[in-house]
Amino acid sequence: MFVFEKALAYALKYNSQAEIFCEKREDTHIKFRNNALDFVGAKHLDGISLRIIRNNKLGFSSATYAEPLRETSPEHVHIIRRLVKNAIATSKFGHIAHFSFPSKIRGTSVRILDNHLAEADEKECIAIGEQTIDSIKRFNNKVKSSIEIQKMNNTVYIANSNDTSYSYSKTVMSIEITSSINLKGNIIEIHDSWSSCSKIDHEKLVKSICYELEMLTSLKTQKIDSMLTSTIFMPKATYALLYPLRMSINGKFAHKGLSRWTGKIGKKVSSNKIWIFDDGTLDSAPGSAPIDDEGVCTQKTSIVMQGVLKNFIYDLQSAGEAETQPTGNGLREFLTPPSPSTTNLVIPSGKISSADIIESLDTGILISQTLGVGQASTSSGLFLVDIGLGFKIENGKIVSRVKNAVVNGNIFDSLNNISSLSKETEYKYGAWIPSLCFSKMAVKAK
Amino acid sequence: MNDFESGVSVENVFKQCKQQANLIEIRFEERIGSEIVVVNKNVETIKDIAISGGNVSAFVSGGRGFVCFNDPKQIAKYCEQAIKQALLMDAELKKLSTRKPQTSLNVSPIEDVIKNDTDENPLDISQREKIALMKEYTNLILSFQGVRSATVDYTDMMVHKHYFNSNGSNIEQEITRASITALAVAKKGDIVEQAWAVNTSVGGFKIMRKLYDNMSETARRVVNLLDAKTAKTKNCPVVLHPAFAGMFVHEAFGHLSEADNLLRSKTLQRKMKIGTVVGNKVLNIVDQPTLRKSGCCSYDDEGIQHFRTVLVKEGKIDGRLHSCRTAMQMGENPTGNARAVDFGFPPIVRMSSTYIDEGDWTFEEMIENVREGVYLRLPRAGMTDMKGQFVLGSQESFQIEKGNIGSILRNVSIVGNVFNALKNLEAIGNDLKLVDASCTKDGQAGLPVSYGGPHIKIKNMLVTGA
Repeated sequence: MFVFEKALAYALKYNSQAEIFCEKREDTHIKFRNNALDFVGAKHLDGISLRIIRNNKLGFSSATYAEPLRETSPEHVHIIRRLVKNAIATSKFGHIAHFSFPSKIRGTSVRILDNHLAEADEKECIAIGEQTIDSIKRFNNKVKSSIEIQKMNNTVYIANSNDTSYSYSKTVMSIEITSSINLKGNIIEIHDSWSSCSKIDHEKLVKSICYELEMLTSLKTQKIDSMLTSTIFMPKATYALLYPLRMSINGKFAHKGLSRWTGKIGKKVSSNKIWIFDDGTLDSAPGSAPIDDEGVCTQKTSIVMQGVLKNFIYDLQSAGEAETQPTGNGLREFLTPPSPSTTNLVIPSGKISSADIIESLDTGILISQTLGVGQASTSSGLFLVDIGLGFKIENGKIVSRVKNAVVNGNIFDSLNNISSLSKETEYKYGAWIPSLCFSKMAVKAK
Repeated sequence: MNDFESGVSVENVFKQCKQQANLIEIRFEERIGSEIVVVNKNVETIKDIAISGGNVSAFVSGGRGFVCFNDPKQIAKYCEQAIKQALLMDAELKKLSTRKPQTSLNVSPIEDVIKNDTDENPLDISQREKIALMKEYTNLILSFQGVRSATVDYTDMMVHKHYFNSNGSNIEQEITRASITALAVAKKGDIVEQAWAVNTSVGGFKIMRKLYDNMSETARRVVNLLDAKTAKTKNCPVVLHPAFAGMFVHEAFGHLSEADNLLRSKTLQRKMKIGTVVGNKVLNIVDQPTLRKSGCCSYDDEGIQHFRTVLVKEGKIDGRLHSCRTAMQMGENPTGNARAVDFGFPPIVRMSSTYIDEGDWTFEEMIENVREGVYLRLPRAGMTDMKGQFVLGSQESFQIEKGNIGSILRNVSIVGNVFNALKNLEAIGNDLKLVDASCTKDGQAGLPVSYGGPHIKIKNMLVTGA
């Protein structure tokens, strides 16, 4: 890290405040198609970003580099000097800085590094994929599965002009499975996924897929009429619902008046059954870290409590503009400046099981998965999902499969119509989320 | 050759590793550019981008390996790793007796250097000048009553790629793109509406200076949307504007013509068999990378020269889009459609500029006999599955009532199956237009593409609003 400190010192020759952010990524990527290994890949990437505050304005530049970054290597001296020069050039036109870099970076204690996972190589990842395929084939040998496994080893280093620095390492493994079966001439696909900072229990995913396969093979398909009805979204069908929510709790958009929830702190925005948190301190959750990408401690932030809006999420700049405290949500993509983003979105579970929710309904639709991730408007909250895998509920029982139907609505309105949340939660799309049962949703036959 | 790869001897690496693999490909890439985001007259973000990297692909019998990196000096080490990966994969496939050859087709080595001409190189324009222009655009959008926020996101990027393979190919390509995305937000009470427009240039900065009408149109559109009605869900005739027709042909049909998608599904292969009738005789669909639009390039990322591919000719499937690997697996010729979004990913089959070719109807003729229908103008987002089921959303739509364009509608989507939609395609216009866009596939987001068509009319589609 000596060289990064040198880079920071060089930047501070010309600027009042500066921050160096470095990220090293070592990834393994495996794909299976139709039960056969299809791709083996690896990534070795290193990036460095510099932010400066000069004449009260923000400047930013970034570059990739080849490790090890040596102070004495001419090309690396060139990278550092270019980084500083470009950051100064951008600061002439940059945004007024409404913050100072954190004075002392202390991280939250959170478990995000699994040493065994860190050392897992391509062979081990391939073995996980093969075991998953074998387990599914043992259930039904006609099923063909496509699996994508990504294992990421990340090391982050951050230092700023307040003579403080921090470094941490993190592992993330993610698995996505698509299993398909030919049912009387129709190809049905079942998707599921999971990600975690530790090695994934892939058997849990297999169990979930096999359960749905069993349902599909034993149920008839029923055409439905368009109706307003109780609709249960299972966690893996919620992407289109979560997308406008994520934008609406973004403090930067809220401050600019662009969020549906602007000006509604302290007001009721949903049913009192709804609680929403952002929590970057959850052990083994992929969105967790000891600090955000600006050196601010991560935390658990209450966004909605019993239907009342309490907070937005902020990075340093948006918190400064809104004259409030940052919430540890200043996150970056590789080589980009930070902006407010969710760490792990959490919608806590309800009190009754998914099975009991189904049993409580006279009539309804259970949506297990959607065609793609659906469509949603971040500004209005309108969403549309094509039911990829859905089931009809009658008198508390799943009676048939449903196809050729879409569901549309407005998530902000629908949050007032939530009748129950399941006891079981799953980690999907960066969120811990239960199944969501809405008392009235528009289901339209195609 | 760019600075990133200087001092690296690719020839030595090939000499060392060639005996261990059927084919080795090495790609170096350098990206230099900037991004400026102006929000409501203020510079929100300004950043300078300088990214260099490369990758190695190795093919050994039935296996392939892929390693991407930032450090070109370790190329020999990464090459060894890619070969190891390929051997691992080959061994695994042998166990299943499903080993398929992964090696390249026998393509003669090519040496070439390509650089696109620009009227004004965007990288030579000062930041001051770019910012001043972006501020003019946001001021213009904000001048429309009802507009709450205007964001103009300018990006420019010079991409220099150098491709080598162990058969002797050595191709350098440099392309400079500039793009402006304008987003206008309007608010009235609880109603918040957005409208956006994307403009890309591969010909230089000049076109970026001429977008005042485009900005005004975006602002007008978002203000009009505040008073839009909600569409009733119904089956009815629809007329698609060229931009929306382009999204339709790209999303609903184009992805099904990508050979890697075809190879995943025998059912899809049957539906897309060459010679299958998918529409009437006036329907022609083309993918053409040589057009000077967002999706253009001279060689793909496997060193294969791009050329025009006819996907549908006079209503019948006539071709598909290939990489070398898919071409070999299907016993067909490569089409130069293998692209990666950047060096961090392997090339996969991607569309370039995909469009429905012109017919002879006018727009007025299309709507004159429509009692009740919908006119979908600008695309919002779309997706399809490999059975041809699609959902396509519109930014802006209108009622068609008794042959006239009526009230504006919000958040309209059409839902259906592409094979039914193409069979119901009853009119193709005479006003072909292509627009710039980007495409996401298999985790590779933001690949520049273009798409388009003339106005088209589909006699029966499910239209939904909310």
